[in-house]
Amino acid sequence: MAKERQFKRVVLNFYSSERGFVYTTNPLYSDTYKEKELEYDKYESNEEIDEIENNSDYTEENQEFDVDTQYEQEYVEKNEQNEEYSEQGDVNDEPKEDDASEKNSEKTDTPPQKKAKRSFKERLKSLIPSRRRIIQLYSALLFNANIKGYITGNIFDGATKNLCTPGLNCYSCPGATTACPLGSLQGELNKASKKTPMYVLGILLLYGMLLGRFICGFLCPFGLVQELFFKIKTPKLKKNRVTRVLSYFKYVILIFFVVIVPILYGLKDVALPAFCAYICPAGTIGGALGLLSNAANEWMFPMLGPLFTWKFLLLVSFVVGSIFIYRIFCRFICPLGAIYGIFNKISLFGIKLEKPKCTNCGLCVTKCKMDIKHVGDHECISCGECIDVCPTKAISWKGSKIFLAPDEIDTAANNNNNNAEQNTQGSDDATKKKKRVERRKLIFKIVAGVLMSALLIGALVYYNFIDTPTEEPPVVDDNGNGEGDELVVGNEVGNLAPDFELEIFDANGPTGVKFNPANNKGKITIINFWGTWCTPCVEELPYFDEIASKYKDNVTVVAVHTVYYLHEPSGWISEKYPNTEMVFVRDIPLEEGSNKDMYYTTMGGKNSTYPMTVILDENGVIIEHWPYAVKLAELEAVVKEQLQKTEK
Amino acid sequence: MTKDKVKIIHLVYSIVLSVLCVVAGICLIVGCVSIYNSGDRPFSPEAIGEAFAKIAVPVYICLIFILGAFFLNLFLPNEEKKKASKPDERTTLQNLYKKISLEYCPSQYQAQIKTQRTFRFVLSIAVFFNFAINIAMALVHIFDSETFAGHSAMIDVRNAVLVLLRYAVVAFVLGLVLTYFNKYTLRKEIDLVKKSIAKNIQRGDPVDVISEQEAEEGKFVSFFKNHKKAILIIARCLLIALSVTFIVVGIVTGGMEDVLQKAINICTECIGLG
Repeated sequence: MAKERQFKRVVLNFYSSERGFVYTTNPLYSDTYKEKELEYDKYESNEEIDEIENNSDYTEENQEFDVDTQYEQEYVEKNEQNEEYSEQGDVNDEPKEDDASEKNSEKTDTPPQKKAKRSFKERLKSLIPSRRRIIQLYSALLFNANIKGYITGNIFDGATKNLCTPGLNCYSCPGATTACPLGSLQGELNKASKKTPMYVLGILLLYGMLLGRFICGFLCPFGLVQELFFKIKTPKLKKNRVTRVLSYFKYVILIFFVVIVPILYGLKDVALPAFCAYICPAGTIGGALGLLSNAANEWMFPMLGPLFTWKFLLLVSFVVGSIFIYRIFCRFICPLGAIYGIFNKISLFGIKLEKPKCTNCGLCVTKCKMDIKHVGDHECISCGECIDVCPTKAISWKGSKIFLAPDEIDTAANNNNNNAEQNTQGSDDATKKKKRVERRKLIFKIVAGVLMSALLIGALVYYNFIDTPTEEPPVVDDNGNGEGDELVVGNEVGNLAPDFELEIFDANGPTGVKFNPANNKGKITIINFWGTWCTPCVEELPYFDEIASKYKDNVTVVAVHTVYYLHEPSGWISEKYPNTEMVFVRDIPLEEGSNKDMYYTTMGGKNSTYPMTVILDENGVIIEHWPYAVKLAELEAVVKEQLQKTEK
Repeated sequence: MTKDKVKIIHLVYSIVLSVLCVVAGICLIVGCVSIYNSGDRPFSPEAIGEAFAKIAVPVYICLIFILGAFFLNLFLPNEEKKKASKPDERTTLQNLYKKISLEYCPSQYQAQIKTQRTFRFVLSIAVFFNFAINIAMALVHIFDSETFAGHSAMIDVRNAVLVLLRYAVVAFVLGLVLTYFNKYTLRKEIDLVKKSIAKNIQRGDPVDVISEQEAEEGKFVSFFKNHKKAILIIARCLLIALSVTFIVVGIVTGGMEDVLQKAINICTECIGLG
């Protein structure tokens, strides 16, 4: 009797303990629970309870019973088993569905057993990348399919760059075939006072609605980079309350760096994509380092300064941080993730939780490395790791039943659960349905695989072999109007500047008057290539204005505006420089419909890198060639030196 | 080799590797900063190569160790299981409230639970107001005409960030305080609910009251719950239609060409070159 009382006490208290609750509500443990409950029911009567209350040593203070006995241990073992699956998942993130169902049957039908040591072959097998990793690699390659860009050191400038990638992928990366949505958004917000950024907002809304943060988990190249660094076997900093609070920091970054600063500077007609300029590590790794690593871009080194130092420092911090903290940039900084997170719950694709099936066991949240509160919330990147650990199969992919007929949904679910009981009871009809579902799945996989491969191969062929650069700089005439026979017409220091005519424009637009630097002999000519969209260009323009007014008798400053810009610079100039001594001209397209500037290219401009300044002496010979922003002192020193030389 | 030995080897190796990773990172940062501080302008690939050659050894050692970790894991795997962790307080409480609703808790516990909830509510409101004040002050600073009036955008933005960082730190600390306080009060509430369940079972009082709770839901909530799927489909369709409209209007107004123009011209400052 004493033993029975003790048993009932344990049941009573276990019933009320938190783990006991999970244990009882979780179907994984329901069998064990049901047995105990039946025994418990035998004693269920008021008299019995009164007797227990009177006789037992149960008190509120002493209410924590020996729950760490059989039940507790069993729960922990089960839980560990789940963890074990997830550990394997770390190596091979998404186990194949069949494997998962086998594991599931193991979980539900067999008592917990210690996992046998994995053989060397199994370990080697676990190195095969998971489906998610393959998709990540695939998308990284697809978005950076311009392989020849890495060889030539030039960025791609074809038509597909007017489309945005879903993930964070810098458009200044030599391999990038499309535009970065965040950079484009900032660029558009810079002009928000003149034009609503409908196109980019529409694209972000569409991506968010279709995929949500599934993009972060599967399609973002920078997410892949971080995950690969996280694979390095070191002690890891797990998510906690501090990281959860920090995860809201990305919204601050989004509002300040992506929205407010670009709009405020846009009002001043200064293009400043603040996030790209001061934070984005994807731009540093893909754009800056991608370009600098090519010998053809050696000319870019002189422009490195405090900004590059800061951004390199930030990049190294993120890289080292991502070794210890899972997706450090995505969780705390990335504004793109913050935008997509807003749509996560209503997106068409991603992870969904069927609430009626959920027992609130918390295994999914425990397993997840992101700072989620529940599956599918704004922090969830839909990596799908929680699907395998859910004991009740309450978590699934949204739209996973889209190719199934209504009567096949149960079959598919049973397939996933792969219950032994259901297998034995399976009728011919059920087997047929199962086979049909499996066959359809296989066909879907094959079709998807073929289409994806065709797309990638097509992209690689198109970007690297078909869409070859046609826009070569015009050949400079060696027999130009040089004064001395020894002078060669060219675009390097010491060369005679080529003859060229560009139309002057003022506040009212083109004037019809042509300007030819070669005809400006007797005066120093400073030719500055700029664009209203280029922050350093706009920042250095006042220097040129100052030089132009200070040395107006001896120096002519020609500001050559880039050809491709929808916003007419005449209005901008009349507003900013109404009484300037500078001569404003506009470049002409290299070819009809081209976005490349002919004069800029002729004067040695590469990769459409702005600003660029060329200084000609009184004889039209190039004395300075700066493919980067200059300082006033630097500029004035050259002018003074040249004027002194002329006086002598 | 025994399991414990393997475990120790892995532990030591991972600690060494993490130290090396941090050292390599610091070396890279120091290398970059020293190049900048050297004053040798303009930079050249040779000068940068020379500076980085000095820090190459720790970086290479780190890379070798990373490679070593891969082989260690392959030939001497650590099969140790991770310890399972408990679900968080909110989930636990949610689970417990599936067994008993507040009105069925014994009165002495009910009062205590309500006190805990009041504490949480008051602190949440206080923190919310502090957040609001923080945001307002930050916005005042941002929209002050002097904030971005300087000549260099980089310096202006840096100064603005330094000021805004104070507000962000205050908000972060407040958020942390709220989180930890919530944790503390939730744990207390869990204890109280558990005690209530135990007491009710012993007395034979009802504990399973989910259906009653659901019956009490308001008309709006029940309508939303019943038509959740339809509402979701409509919302999705509307938003997708809106996004497509935005894109079409954007293409017509030249937004697509703006994106192209930005993407094919390198703005050196935008990629951090300078």
